[in-house]
Amino acid sequence: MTYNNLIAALVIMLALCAVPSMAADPSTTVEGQLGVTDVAIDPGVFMYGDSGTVKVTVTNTGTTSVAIARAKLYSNELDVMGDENYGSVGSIGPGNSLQFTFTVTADAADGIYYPLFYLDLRDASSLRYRVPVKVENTGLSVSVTDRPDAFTSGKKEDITIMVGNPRENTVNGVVITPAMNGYETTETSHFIGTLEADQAAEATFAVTPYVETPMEFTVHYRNGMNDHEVTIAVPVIFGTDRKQAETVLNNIAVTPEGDHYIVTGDVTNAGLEDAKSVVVTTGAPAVPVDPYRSYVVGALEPDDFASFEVTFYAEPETEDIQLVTNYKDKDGNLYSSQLTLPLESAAVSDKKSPVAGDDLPIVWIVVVLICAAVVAGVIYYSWKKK
Amino acid sequence: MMNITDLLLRPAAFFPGRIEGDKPDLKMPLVIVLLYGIVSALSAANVSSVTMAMMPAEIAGMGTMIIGIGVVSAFIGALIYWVIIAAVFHGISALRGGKGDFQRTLAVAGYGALPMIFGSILSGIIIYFTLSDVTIRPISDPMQVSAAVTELMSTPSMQIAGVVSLLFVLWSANIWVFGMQEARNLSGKDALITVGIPVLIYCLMTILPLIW
Repeated sequence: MTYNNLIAALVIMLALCAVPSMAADPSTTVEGQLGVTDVAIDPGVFMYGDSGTVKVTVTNTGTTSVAIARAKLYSNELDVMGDENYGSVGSIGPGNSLQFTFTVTADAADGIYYPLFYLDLRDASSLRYRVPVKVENTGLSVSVTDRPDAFTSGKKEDITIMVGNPRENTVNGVVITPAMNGYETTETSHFIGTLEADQAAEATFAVTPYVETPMEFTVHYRNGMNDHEVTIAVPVIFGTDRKQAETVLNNIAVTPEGDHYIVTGDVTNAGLEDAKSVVVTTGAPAVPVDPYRSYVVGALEPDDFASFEVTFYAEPETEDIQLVTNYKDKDGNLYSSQLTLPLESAAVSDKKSPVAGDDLPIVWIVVVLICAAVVAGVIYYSWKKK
Repeated sequence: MMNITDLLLRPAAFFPGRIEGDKPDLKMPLVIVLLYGIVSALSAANVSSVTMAMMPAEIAGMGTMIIGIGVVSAFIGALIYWVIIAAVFHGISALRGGKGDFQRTLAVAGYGALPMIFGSILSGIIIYFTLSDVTIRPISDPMQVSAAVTELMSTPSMQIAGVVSLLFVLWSANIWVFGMQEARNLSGKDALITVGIPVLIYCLMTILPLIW
């Protein structure tokens, strides 16, 4: 072999080597028979630490079978598992498709990554295809859309929670669960289900706080097969509800009646909500007595008023008594207010002695009878001795 | 010297010789009326102190002065009543043909007030014990004080005091009848009419409010 023949042989060999490199063009084989016809990624967008699947479908569009040695998915940024299952694939017949599924774990920062799908063919050619995989760590958005102006210990209030999905993919299994940290709720959880991209859903909870600790609501959801959660805290500070009913007592008059007192007056609802089951009675040191131990006024709408009358007994040295007004709101929460009432009356008897308001004392009747007898006797005597 | 026993029990024997001439001695009738005035003043002081206890704190500071006015009014009132009673008796007796100077009638009216002293003392005791057993609290509205006093005075114990006073007025009336016979030279019937009409009116004015 001459030097020229050696050069020619090398050129031919290089030309032969160039043929497989031309087959590396994506979705085509050297024969132009194999192509990637579908790629499915679940979840559509990974969150940090999520695991999911990348499914690549390869179709033989030629007229002869193509032998496949192995399939792999290469990535420097993402963890790929499952490619050992495709160490010896076999052949793919004409017009047939094969699907290769790989498990991917996104232990990478937010971004778009391009793992390489590599199909090794037995005829020394191969198929290469870049699969774009997105990693985006943004979670669901949770906000409070409605809450009372102020909380009151033991009073039931409504809190509305809104959950929004700012991600590019759908999340599912969305559930809102309130934490029982110092308050009661009627609903133990609220199931929303699937949330499409850029969609939102609301849930209302009836809560009854007992301590001033923040109420926590946790939103559980799944991104693909991965569980995630986000928690929101609603601060609880007890105060006076500006809209709640408020009872005001007016036109009060205290009148002694025998050994007890009668209190009359008007009760007005000066609040913005209905006051239900309004009851007026007296508190210590007064002792309620018949006939009006307590006076049931009933329901009072805002700015409405009604008269009341209660009767009570108080010790003679009592200077002040309490006038107690009880009412309930629409949820049955009981409210109570007290008004100190000075006893400014004329004369109330001690029960221990015969005085005003008591029955006619016997001793005084005897005195009258004696006086009458004496006077009658004197007049009779004076006329007889005339 | 005045014989009190005769005055109280046998007025028919007391007055003859006691009211002589047109200008009889009025010292003893005046003493009786003054005693009656003192007793009335003490009773008024008791009731006034109760009334003042009902007054609001801002008015209570005037208590001593108001009680003083009540005492003086009761004392002077006794003297004025004496003259008025005598005038009424004198007027009615004049219509029945009575003769004699007004001073004689004035003397009879004064002597006859003696049983009323006993009545005032007795009723005063009843009022005192009644008021000492009640609890008095101030009233913020002065307009309610009058109603409160009226309520207090309408209680059974206080009404008993009024009835006792009335019985002794009848005793006094009995003395007045015999006295007016002597002072105005009236028959028993005319004297009875002279004294009976005003006393009856007084009794009705006292009893009717107790009934209603």
